[in-house]
Amino acid sequence: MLSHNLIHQFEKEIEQFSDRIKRTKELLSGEIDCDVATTPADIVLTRDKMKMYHYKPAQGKQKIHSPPVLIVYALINRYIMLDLEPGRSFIQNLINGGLDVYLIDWDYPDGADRYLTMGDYINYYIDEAVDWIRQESNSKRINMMGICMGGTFSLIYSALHQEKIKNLATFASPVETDIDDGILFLWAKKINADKVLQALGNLPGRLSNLLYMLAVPVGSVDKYIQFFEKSDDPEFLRTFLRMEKWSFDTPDMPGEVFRQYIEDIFQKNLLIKNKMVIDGETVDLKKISCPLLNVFGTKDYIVPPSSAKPLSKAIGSKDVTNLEINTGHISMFMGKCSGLEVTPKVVEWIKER
Amino acid sequence: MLNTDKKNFIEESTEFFLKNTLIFFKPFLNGENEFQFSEIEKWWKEHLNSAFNTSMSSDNLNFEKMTLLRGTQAGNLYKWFMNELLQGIKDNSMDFTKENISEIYYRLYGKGFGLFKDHVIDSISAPPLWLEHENMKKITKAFEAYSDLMNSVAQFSDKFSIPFQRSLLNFIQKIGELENLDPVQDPKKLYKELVRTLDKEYDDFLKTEQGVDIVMDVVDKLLVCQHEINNVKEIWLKFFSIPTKGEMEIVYKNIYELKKQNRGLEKTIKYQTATIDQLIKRVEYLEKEK
Repeated sequence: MLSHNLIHQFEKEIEQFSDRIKRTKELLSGEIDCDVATTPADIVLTRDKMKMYHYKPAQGKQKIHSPPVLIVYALINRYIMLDLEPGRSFIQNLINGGLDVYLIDWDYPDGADRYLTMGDYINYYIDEAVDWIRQESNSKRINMMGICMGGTFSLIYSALHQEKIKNLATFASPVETDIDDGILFLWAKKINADKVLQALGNLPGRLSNLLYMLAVPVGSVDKYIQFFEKSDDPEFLRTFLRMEKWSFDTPDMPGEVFRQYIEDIFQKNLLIKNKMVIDGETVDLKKISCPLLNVFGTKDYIVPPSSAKPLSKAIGSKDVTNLEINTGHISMFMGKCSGLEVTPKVVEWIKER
Repeated sequence: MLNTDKKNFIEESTEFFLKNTLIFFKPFLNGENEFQFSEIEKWWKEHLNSAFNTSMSSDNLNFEKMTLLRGTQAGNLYKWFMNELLQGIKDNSMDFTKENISEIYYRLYGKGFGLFKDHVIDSISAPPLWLEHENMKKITKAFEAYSDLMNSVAQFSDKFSIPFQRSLLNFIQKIGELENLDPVQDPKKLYKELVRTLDKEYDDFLKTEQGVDIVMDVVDKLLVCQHEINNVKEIWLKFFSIPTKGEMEIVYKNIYELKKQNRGLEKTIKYQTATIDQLIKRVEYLEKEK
């Protein structure tokens, strides 16, 4: 039997929650600064829709480490997650650590990009970016960081163009796909890529979003309850809105890339078996001989450790470091651990090599 | 069909019907033309109007089934006509007097008109919106795919509620237990407990075969439905001479191929420019040496 006190507390909570909704509505009707990706950068290279940013160095007399770092982001969502806001920016942390940072922005693929393949992304766009940086910085080899799907691209690139890569760092990148603890992996095994292409051409961002939300149905609702709880805090409000902006800013994925990514990597698990073929060339991960930093979150439900961790044993390099962070897929870049644990270790790892 | 078109059609088909009825019976009339067709004409027009008013619905849009139905009706009509005519002639001892002809005529007319109406009039109105056979098929498929999607969504909703129901039952039991052990002061604690329970139940459920299947079935049906809808859209795009998705994909494919060729050429030019530069330097060096 429930106590009268608890019932009274419930009544009070419901009343207070209604007030919080009202207050949040008022707050949201005002002007709120929720700009994202504000770290100063120049666009130094464009190829079709692809743009490459070069971030301005941190103010001060800190020595800039060479060779530069190229960040390859995923084709899912946008890079703004790496530069959400001042004080919560993976990119700023790298710059403050003295790294010279470049980043590839894939922009928004449309119908005209439907036939782009993984080969085009890896052997053309990424390769153009790498060559540009090599020439500009007068470096034979550069550092590469790949985020999630961008990590998979970076791995393939490194296996095919090892001579251009000095150090490789992958973050939450799917490699082993025969796993049973990732919902998205289980779905990917069953999705018919041909049907997606036939019906939609590209994989629509809205469908990806729907599936991401469905993968965590409770969390997708509960986050808004938490939002009302804390919306009085202007800093929280701005960060939350920026996160929402990022979450729903999901570009479409070019159809052929989606087909290859799903069929070859998720359904046939070809990458880790060294049987994947890109532009007629077999991708042999054993050819990666440069140092590797494999970063993954122990609470990552999108790319569980069971998928990311096996990379360490799949490549040819003897200099392999696993960095397990007690966090999730996104918090690795935006959570407290990002500035305190992830980026300092990444910067240190690169500088040591 | 516009009202004026409908009116014209009724007038023309009535004239056609009466004219052919007369031609059919003319050999039996011995030059006499004493039939009063006004009643037949009136009935024909009434049925035609009634058919027009009721048959524009798209209740049964399966074109193959409709074709089979019409074919069967026509076959039955033919068999019936031949039998009735044969029987009428036999019954009247091959004696084509005016009375006997009238009897045969009304005999044929009675049931025959019903069959004729089913076959001819209903088929006139079957394809709504003046759509061709192929387009009708596309629309039918889109409706079927939409219906399949809705069924799949209904099944999804049903199965997706299982973890919710299970969590709620566990949660309600838990409230009782918590209250008995340590009276809860903060309702948020209960909410957090519910979220935790739900989260675990859903995570477990979605990873099961059933969980994966219900999601993937909706996605699959959604894709089929979208594909069929695209096909229907194409009818209108073609009608207004707007490039269809299929046509645009050919354009995209060609642009892609051209861009790829262009990249290859750029690479060759870059390589050859570098080679030329090296050769020029070599020539300059050799000239200096000389």
